[in-house]
Amino acid sequence: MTYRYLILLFALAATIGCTRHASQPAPRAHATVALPLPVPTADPLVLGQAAAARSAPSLYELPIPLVDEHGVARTLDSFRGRPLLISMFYGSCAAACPLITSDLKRIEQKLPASARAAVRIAMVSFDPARDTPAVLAQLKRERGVDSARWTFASASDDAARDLAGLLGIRYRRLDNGAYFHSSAIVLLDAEGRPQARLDGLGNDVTPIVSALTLRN
Amino acid sequence: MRFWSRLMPAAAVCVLTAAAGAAPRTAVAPPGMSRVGPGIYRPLYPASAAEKEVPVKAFWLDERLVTNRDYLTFVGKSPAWRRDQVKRLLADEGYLAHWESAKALGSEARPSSPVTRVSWFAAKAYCAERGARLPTEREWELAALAGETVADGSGDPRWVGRILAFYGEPARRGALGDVGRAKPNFWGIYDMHGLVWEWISDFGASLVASDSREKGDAERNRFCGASGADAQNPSDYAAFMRVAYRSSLEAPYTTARLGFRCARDVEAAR
Repeated sequence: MTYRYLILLFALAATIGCTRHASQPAPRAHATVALPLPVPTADPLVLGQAAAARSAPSLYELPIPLVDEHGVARTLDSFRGRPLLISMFYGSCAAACPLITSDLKRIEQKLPASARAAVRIAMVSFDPARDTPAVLAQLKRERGVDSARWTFASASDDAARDLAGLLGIRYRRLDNGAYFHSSAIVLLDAEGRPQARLDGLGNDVTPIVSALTLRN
Repeated sequence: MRFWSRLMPAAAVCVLTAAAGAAPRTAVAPPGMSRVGPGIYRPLYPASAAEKEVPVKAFWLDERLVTNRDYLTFVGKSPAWRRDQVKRLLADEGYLAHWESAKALGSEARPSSPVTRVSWFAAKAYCAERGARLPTEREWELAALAGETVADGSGDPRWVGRILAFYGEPARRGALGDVGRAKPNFWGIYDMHGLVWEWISDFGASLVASDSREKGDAERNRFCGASGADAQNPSDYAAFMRVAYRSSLEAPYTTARLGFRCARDVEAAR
């Protein structure tokens, strides 16, 4: 909850008395009100909140089951011990999902060598039926990423929902087999606590790079 | 003649029963659930032109919202979901804050009122414990489309007006009303509108990039996978409000006016 300031918050939701402070009487919503536009993506990292981030609950408290590109069953907390950049995707996505990989590679390239050696990167698919270990291994080869640092994995429908809930990523499966989803890269510290995030694609990666560099 | 006409209603019932028997047989209704659908859901923001009319399979849905009493029983069986034991990761500080204690409801949480101040994780765990699940957005919206006597009440301005009146109502202080007091809808479901907002399994994924075009790259790039289409029926303000509300949620959130009910698949029996 420490990055609540990042949340896509609609003014409308606030005006109709459904926010966390619902006990306060809210002004009457008008039927003529237009749907307020979401606030543009906020600064992904406020360094002043680093202390709060340290006390954020660890995602590793929930043993979310994954299957990696080697077909090995592991839980999310198997990434404990090193900073982790984590995102969610689906392999057959032709358009935006390769951009998540390229954003992650941009972060990697901008890191000092020591920070780069320390970080691990996980791409978790919410399409386990198609993103089998063989498909994930193929994707990993095609993207030309560092094999030791990167993990491609998939999660069952239920586990993927949980992980997306923890990462603040929204998705739904369309009838044509594609997925409609938001993109985000979340930085977890060695204990699994969220430290920074990037919402969207192709954005400035400096905040994540700074957070990773400061840690070293 | 008079004799036969008196028998007619009974005969009609027999015919209907026979027709129902000819349809693919489904499991007996789970306790407290009614069958909803099949039907057509028209998303406010279709992800593509192909998604303007989405067929929704029949499913079971709780007739009533999960109450404080139901939820108290649940936390008794699953202490990990008591408010003094829940992981902060899975529910924020407001979780069940209106209960008198971790094991008692008290005056702010009447037994027959819908349970609120529960997170998505908690709602999901409650349903899973019952062998059920949260409804999907399309399922919930299909059920919510029904008026008292028709499966699609959207053509009835009075019905739509009542829904809007609820959404426009300032949040009330004090305890919520009891579940199941208002008339059930066409499917036999109570309180789809009028008491609280409800968690669904895939909340917050309804906004499409097409509507974000004027908002610059950052916003447009948050979502992918959709070519996008314009909002259908933009006069459906209630649907706008639900999309906006759900988009503002995060899975660990709890609020005083957000509850839930559970759903199940209708499995075809051999």
